[in-house]
Amino acid sequence: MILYTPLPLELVLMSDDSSPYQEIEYDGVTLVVQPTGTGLGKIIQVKSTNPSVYLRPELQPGQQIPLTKTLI
Amino acid sequence: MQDKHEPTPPPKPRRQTQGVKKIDTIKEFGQTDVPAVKTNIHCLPIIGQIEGHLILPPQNKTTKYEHIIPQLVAIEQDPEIEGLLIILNTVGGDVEAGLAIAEIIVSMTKPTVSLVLGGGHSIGVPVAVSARYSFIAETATMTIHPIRLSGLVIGVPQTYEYMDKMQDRVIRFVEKHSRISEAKFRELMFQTGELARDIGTVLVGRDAVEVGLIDEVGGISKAIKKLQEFINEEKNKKGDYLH
Repeated sequence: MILYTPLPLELVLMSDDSSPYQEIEYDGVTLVVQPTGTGLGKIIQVKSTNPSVYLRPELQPGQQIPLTKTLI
Repeated sequence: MQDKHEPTPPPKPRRQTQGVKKIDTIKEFGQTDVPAVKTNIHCLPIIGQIEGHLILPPQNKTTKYEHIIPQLVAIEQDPEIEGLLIILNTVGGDVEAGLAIAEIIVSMTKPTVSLVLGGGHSIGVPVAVSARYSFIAETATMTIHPIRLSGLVIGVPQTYEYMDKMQDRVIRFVEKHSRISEAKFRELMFQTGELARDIGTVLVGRDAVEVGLIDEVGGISKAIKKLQEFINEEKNKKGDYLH
């Protein structure tokens, strides 16, 4: 792999603990969530190219969302 | 941490009743009551490091190749999407992944416009120029510098040649898809005295337009307007075929 970046490589490749985040799919949208126990997760990031997804109130970062598949 | 989980959380007053209600309708009736905001433009944000062959440590914010490529394929195919706006704030990343994304954007039939906000460094440069028309915010910067090898480097001439070849891939792509000449791009890449830790150049807003890398200085309004123009052109073309 060739990294082409102005950042110092030690900063990029510095190993840290594994990520506390998890990626899930909710209603067709990919979300990065932080599991908070009790089967729920807090939304950290929304990954979509559709701008209207970002306007949906239940998908705002910080909202709690069930991690397991809901009855959609 | 504000939202530490308490063992038995007392029922909180529901502030965002609307949001909660919507989740409830999904749960209870299997329906979504999403406000029908129809948009014919999709927006692809490219943030942090562009991630390709290796997963980077979690302190890096990354844009993953395997997310972006299928999204681009879907955008190309979806008849409801008429244009794509690429918004860049990236510090570069994997050469192959960056070039792959750039090549897909170049080969799309749908109109594409890119906007560099904040930064579009290193491998972000080919991604920025891959769109049909490119914008840069007045305060945004683009760093152009030579490619470095990470990990074990064997000090033989072949290593240098290999790196040169990789660098040429980037240079050739940028030269082909922007107004900048190969000589000028190489000059910027190997400039001394500009960067503290490296050789290369930092282009701020207007500089990137003056050297011919980016088409215009502007923000979201100009970018959307340009995209709309392209979309209308495309529609007229289609109309011509029909009649």
